[in-house]
Amino acid sequence: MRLGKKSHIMILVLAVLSLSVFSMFFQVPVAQSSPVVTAYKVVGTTDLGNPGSESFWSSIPWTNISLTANIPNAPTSGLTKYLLVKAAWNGSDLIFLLNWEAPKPAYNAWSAAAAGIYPPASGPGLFRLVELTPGVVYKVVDNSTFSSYVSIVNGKEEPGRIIFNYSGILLPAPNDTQIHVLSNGTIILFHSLRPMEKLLYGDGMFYGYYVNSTWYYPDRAAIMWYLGSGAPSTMTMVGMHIGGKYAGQVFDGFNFTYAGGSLKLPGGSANIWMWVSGATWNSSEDPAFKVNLWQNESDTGLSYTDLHNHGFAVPLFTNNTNMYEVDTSGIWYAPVKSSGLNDSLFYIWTGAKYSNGSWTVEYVYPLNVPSSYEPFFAHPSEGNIYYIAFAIWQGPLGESLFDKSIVPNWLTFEMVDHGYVPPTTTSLVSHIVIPTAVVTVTVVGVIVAILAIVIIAAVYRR
Amino acid sequence: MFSISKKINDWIEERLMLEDLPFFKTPDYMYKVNYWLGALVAGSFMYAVISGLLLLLYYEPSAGYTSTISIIDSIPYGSVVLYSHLYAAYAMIILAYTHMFYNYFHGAYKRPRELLWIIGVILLVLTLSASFMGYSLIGDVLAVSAVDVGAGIVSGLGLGFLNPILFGAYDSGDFTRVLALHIILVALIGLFFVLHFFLAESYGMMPSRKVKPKAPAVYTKEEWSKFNAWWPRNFVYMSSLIFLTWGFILAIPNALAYLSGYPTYLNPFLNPHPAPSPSSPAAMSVTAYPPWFFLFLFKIADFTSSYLIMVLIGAIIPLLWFILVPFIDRSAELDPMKRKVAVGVGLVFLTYFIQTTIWGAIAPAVPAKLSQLVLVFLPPPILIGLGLAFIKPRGTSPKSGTSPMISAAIFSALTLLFIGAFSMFSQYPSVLTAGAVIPLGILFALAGTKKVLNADQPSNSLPSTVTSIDVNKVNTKVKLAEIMIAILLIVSIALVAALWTIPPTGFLSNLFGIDLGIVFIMLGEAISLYHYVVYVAGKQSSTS
Repeated sequence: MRLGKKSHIMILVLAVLSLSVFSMFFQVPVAQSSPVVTAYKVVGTTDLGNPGSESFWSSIPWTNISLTANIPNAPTSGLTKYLLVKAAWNGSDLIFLLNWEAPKPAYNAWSAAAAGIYPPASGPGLFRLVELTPGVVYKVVDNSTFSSYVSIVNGKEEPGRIIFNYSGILLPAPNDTQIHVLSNGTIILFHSLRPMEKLLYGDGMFYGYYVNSTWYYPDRAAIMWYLGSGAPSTMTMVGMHIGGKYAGQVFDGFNFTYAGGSLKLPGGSANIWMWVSGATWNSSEDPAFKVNLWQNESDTGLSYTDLHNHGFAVPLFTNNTNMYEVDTSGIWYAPVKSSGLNDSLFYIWTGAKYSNGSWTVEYVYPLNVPSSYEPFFAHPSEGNIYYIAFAIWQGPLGESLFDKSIVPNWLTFEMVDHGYVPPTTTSLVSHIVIPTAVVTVTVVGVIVAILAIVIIAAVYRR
Repeated sequence: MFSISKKINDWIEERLMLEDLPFFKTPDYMYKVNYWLGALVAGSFMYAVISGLLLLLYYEPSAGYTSTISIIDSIPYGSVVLYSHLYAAYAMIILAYTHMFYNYFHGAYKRPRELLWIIGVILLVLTLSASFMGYSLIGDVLAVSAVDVGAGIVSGLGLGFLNPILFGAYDSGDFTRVLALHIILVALIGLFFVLHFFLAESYGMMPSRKVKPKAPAVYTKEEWSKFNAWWPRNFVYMSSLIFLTWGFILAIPNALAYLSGYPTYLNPFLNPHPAPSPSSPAAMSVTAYPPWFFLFLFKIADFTSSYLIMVLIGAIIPLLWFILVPFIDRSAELDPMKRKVAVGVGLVFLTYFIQTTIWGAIAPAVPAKLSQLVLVFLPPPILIGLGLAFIKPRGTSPKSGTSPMISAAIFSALTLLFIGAFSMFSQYPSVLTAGAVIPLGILFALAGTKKVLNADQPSNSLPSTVTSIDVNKVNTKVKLAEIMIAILLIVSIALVAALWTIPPTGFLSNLFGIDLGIVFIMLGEAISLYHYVVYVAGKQSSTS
């Protein structure tokens, strides 16, 4: 009888104890949901001369988006760990504000493609330097087979063909290949070509892009829109192919099925808005703008009208095999159409600034897309779900081309017909996130401690 | 039936002069498993040594992983021996911890057993080290990453020059040095075990507190001479224990070898299979985790970036405590409630060990913030401290009042609520949080000074059990036991016959381990029943 009563009390006490433990975590969200980018309806116009300063941004919170390395093992990949994003729309334009920490801004580094249409261009970024994996050695083979080949080693021209050797894997380099060998034996490959990079990567010889204080690449940011119907077949960011300059390129005997940058996701296409600090940033730190490249219609074949001192974002279109530029000139990639896309290169306006160790880039996208652009551009509208992705390159740290920081998964995007409404829960603990593992071990600790005491009291006291 | 066995007994006893063995004579009440935990550890050790020597015949340390796989795939019963060798080590570790904590709470480290205790602690360290080396010999991606972590800790302590000496060229798959150290450490265990064993035999097993309530808890020569001699009863009892231990060591891992589909955090505990080779592409997808007995240390590495602090918290401080406890807790009291500090510290260590091990399994390599550490590690010492404070030793005069258990629980709940409210207040100072923390703080302070909770001790008197032995009952039990023995032996013979139908290699070969394990368990059980029939029941019927 007495024992029965005691055990009832014990159960009650244990219940009170568990309640008291859980009361500490009351209303605490256990895990953070994956970020969803929402564009809020705002009133106002943009000021691309001072991105982020517009008053409507102050009422919208940042969405923190984790980024990951696009090439997991390259030391220069995945250097931007997270990206802050805000989105808004005012009826005519869709506006994105991106912010990321960058210890060194890539001032004055050319985008190789932009430099390509401006012969007097000089300075960092004109071409890419690849650092080969430590342990890769080379040999200049000068025999009858390669008698027509010439190689440049440490600035000196030599007859013969360079053959790279990485633990027995041999990769012959094309004619006129230029390398520089550092004192520690590391090989730097000059004038790196896309298909060559694909071959180096395939043989494990691609270590990363080489940078030093005077040679580096522009910073970049890209927003990618999935253009397929419905959701992508996988939400995981399978990324883009590393490949040739264009699909079907034959390079040094190798046939490249895919163009570098084409979408790996089966059965989809995408529209990419690429901002480049060395080509599309209206600033004197941008070498292309510095020499008025875009105003010179004879160089570009396109008419750039600088109404409000702003830059632009290169519109790109990619399908499963190829990558195109959505305009008629083909500066970065082949033009998607040879006519009917007037001014489309400058369709997406941008403004950017670097301050306090971070980049802020604002994109303005007119929602009323001309019908000739439509097949290649995103056309978001209110109330629907879209799938987008982000990528960031920090050129001064060696990120360029396919070596970048990218979202691990597609993100959903939505335009809503109202401004930002803060969550209604006013709970004072709503901001504390306690991982489930911590809750579990705390509860385990309480249970074990109670059990231990009961055992000591009941068994050991005998 | 048993007269033949008596004759055999006598014959052996006479030839081997077993009566003159200097082994401890054992009182009747000690034939319970909790007095024999050390023997279970020794049994597991013996199994590990025997299976290890068998493996040594086939293991090629210069090609660690390939060799492990060839033992599993092509050596007859290789996987049976390998998996049971692994679980013998697991059993040894678990039983060693049990043995240690059991004796710790019984105060067995007190005079005159201080040296015995310290050698025991050294044996634990040696066992964990030898197990780590043995685990590494598998040569899979987990083993290599475990050694990486081990080598990282050594380097982190500024002793990086020792790494080639300790681990050799493990990262190129050569485990020669690791094997050598594994064997050296096991040999050291053997050496210290002999010392431990003979010291234990000379003091005798720790008597019950009812008989010897204070240190030094040893029987006098006169008392001792009246107890059961080592031969044959201890031998019989020990045989049953060893068969049972070996049976489980064989049966469990070989059965687990067929299990799959459990959550990954159970992998360190349940999976006897090796992981992929460190150089295979599959290795990329394997989450690195240490063997379960080092999960706690692995987790502590998430608390701090300093290896020195990690080793201090995870190894040096607990070890120092256990080595020094005989000199800290020097009173003659053996009752745990009369040495609350030592018992409290032991309970906190035990709780922390379990908590950190589980934490390491479910959230490996996830850094823990200070606030989380406080949340996880503050409640156990408070609960244990309060529990111990409210439980009085036996024999204190009873007073009326609330049951101490309830008071302790209410007080604990109050403490937790106060801590919760306080941490809330410190992070989000507001009128609301202050309103919660102040009244709870006052209640907590009042409860602490026992103004609110008038806690006290209920009556301790237990009805003393008067045992009257019914001869008829004993006879029935003996009959039943004899039938059971017969059945167990017959089934064992059938199982042994079935053993030879099991293929020596391939998927089905682990059934051999399960089968042999069950045979051992049955034999152990049969011997245990024999022990009951001959010694326990025999004595009862002769004394009644």
